[in-house]
Amino acid sequence: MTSKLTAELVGDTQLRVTRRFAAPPDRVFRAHFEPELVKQWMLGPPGWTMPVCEIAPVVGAQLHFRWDKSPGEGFSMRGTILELDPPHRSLHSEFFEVPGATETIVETRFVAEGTGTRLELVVTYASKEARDAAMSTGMMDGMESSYARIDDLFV
Amino acid sequence: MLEALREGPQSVATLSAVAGIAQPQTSKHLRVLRDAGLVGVTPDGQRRLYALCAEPLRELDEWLERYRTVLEANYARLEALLARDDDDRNASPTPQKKERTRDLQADSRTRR
Repeated sequence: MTSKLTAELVGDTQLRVTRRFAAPPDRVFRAHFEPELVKQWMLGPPGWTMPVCEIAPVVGAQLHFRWDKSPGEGFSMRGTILELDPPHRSLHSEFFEVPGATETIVETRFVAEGTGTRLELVVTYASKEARDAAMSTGMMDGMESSYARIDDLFV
Repeated sequence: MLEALREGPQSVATLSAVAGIAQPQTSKHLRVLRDAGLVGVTPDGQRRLYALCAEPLRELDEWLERYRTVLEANYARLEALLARDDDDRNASPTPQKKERTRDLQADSRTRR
């Protein structure tokens, strides 16, 4: 399953992720911008919850996501939608409220591929130093868990 | 060059041949890699051998691997949701508009 996903560093300041989906771009796009859909999948490792999920498919909309491992123990992400071209592309800022994190700009493309979608995410950090720092923050530590049950997620 | 170093310590001459660039350029490149802490050098008789410093690369690989795992957990759920959504849509249309309006109002109330 992981062969569908790629995540790699690009140059000094970027991180690029790609993932293919069987559903067409308009549906993958919607699942990224409607809170009632987002909070069903953007949960991180098993056992985490998403008590706050604020997002709207509108330029200027403020994003606020929060993930908890147990009540009150977790972290937030805030950001702003900067550009939107449904269902093809979006640009937003995001800031994880964890030590060492800095604001990043995320460009998301929903590219039609056959009857499905190739999702492309490019995360741009302010500098190489910022990217290095992000890779050593507790962001990942906080989300680390056992993924033994990951196959259960597939229906 | 990094690929060749993955196989073990190499001399400048070997790396120069592998990379297809002149030795002075190879040395210059190696200096950059050394400054970045990616490559170390040890004397071997008359020549010097360059080797990968495993630590930074391994840390990076581990970080990316964990990042992939967290993302894939999300995307696997999204994939399942889209598949389920497909079934729902075939069965009955959902009141999406109404839901969205309510969430937008919730969003504006809690905005800082």
